[in-house]
Formats: sequence, structure tokens, C-alpha cells
Amino acid sequence: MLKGFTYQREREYAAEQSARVINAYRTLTDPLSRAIYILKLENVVVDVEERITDLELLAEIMELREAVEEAEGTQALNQIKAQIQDKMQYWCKSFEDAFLNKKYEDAIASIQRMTYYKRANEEIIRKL
Amino acid sequence: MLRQATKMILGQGLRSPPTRAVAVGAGTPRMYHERVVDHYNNPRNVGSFDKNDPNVGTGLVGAPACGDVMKLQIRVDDDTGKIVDACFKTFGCGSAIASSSVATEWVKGRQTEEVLTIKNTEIAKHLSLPPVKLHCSMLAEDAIKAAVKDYESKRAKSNASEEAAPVEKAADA
Repeated sequence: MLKGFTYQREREYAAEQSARVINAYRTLTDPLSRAIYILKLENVVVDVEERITDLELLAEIMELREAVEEAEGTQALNQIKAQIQDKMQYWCKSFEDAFLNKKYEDAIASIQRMTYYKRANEEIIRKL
Repeated sequence: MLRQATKMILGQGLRSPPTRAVAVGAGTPRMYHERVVDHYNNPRNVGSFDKNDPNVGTGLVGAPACGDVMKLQIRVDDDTGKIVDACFKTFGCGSAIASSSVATEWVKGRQTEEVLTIKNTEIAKHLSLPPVKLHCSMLAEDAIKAAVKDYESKRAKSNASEEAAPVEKAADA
């Protein structure tokens, strides 16, 4: 028992600490949130509401989301899911390289891509 | 004590209709204005025009936040400069879909110069978008401008090549 704490306050304190630990765990185990957090530590904040100007990226994501929409059956969806997994890994590595070389613009671009792929993946999971 | 921890673990588990709504953060149910739900359930003008058609202007915009990708297309009458048809295809949150849907409704029948004055705040007000979703209406405004810009640049190119042709003919003769 901690000195000076009532039982009620001890419970609340423990609950807060548990929540913080769980939050930290969730942030660090997901590659995307981990990347955003790591950048934040370098005082680089990613603005996810910032409009993308890379037309190639937008076209790629449009095609990807259309493919998910039109996909019929679990096999087709899982195939796309696997493709997204590959891309996630590639851009995760890309983020790592960019970050280590202090190329923060590239790091942000990698994060933007990963965010798009993550959303597409969520759509697939919803369909499955 | 466990409830707070469980809520954080479940995180995105709580949803309220439309089910496609992306819940960001620890599971607070998101409420949509009925106009947004209407545009989501009865989307107007969903579709695609041939982007190589000289009368078609295509605007492609996006923001990663909700995984938004928005394509808005206009078909313009060359002689009058009037937008005779519009369509959109948007992937992302309900607010983004509704914003682009509203945008296609509002540009139809208007001049290309006119629609450049459509402000995201008007769209947001029409849909009662909460502050956190204002960027979706911003995207729609951008999409309109991008579509008009695309059409204008196509016209400029075709006018330039029309001017070039007589010169070539003269050179042949």
C-alpha cells in the first residue's frame, strides 16, 4: 500500500497507470502509430489532414479501393490484403531509412502511404 | 477500474451507423447529421466520365486522415462554358462522401468560373459538419477547383494545337 493514499485513490491511480501502459503498448506495437510517435519525438508532427498533391499516389489508392469494392469472395479479398501487407512492409522500411537519414519529408510521405494502406486494409476486414 | 482499460483495448469496437464511419480514438460513437446519412445512403451522381474526353475535367484530391480519396468530374459545354453534368467517386469517411456528393449537385448547371467561388464553409454548413470533419469539405472545394483547372488546361492545349495546325499547313504548302 502506498503511504498517504486511501484505498479509493489507490485504485484510481492504478487504473490510470494501467491505461497509460496499454496506450503506450498499442502505440508502439502498431507500425504506423509507432512511426508517427517516433517522428513526434523529433518534433516533426504529421498533419494527416494535409491534402496530398501526389497524383500518382492518389490514383493508386483510388484503384486499390475500387479493387476492394469490386472484389468478390474471400480469396480475392485476401489476395489484395496480402498485397497491402507487402506495401506496408515496404513503406515501413522506407520510413525507417528516411528517418535514420533525417529525411523527414520522405518519412512523412511514407507515413501518408501507410495511413492509406491501413484504411484500405480496414475496409477489407469489414468486407470479410 | 477495468472498464476504462477494456474500453482502450476494444478501441474501435464501438460504432454507430453508418457502419463505415472510422472511429478514431477510444470508441466514442460518432453522430452524423441526417443530410450526411442521406447522401451516404442515396448518393447522387456516383460514377465516372471518360477522363480523356476533351469536355471532361477531372479533379483528384485526397487526405490520409480518413483515407480520403476524392475524384470529381465535370462535363462542360465548350460553347457556353456551362457544367452540364458532374459525377464523383469518393472513398473515405461519410463526411467526405457527402461533401463530394453535395459538390456535384451544386456545380451542375453553373458556369465554370462561378463554381470556383463555392466555399468549403458552405458545404460544411449544409451538412452540419463538426469541426473535426471540416477538412472533408475543404477536399470537396479543392476537387471542384482541380476539375475546372483540368478542363481549362485541356482547352488551352487543344487551342494551342489548333493554332499550330494552320502553321503546319502553310509549311506544307
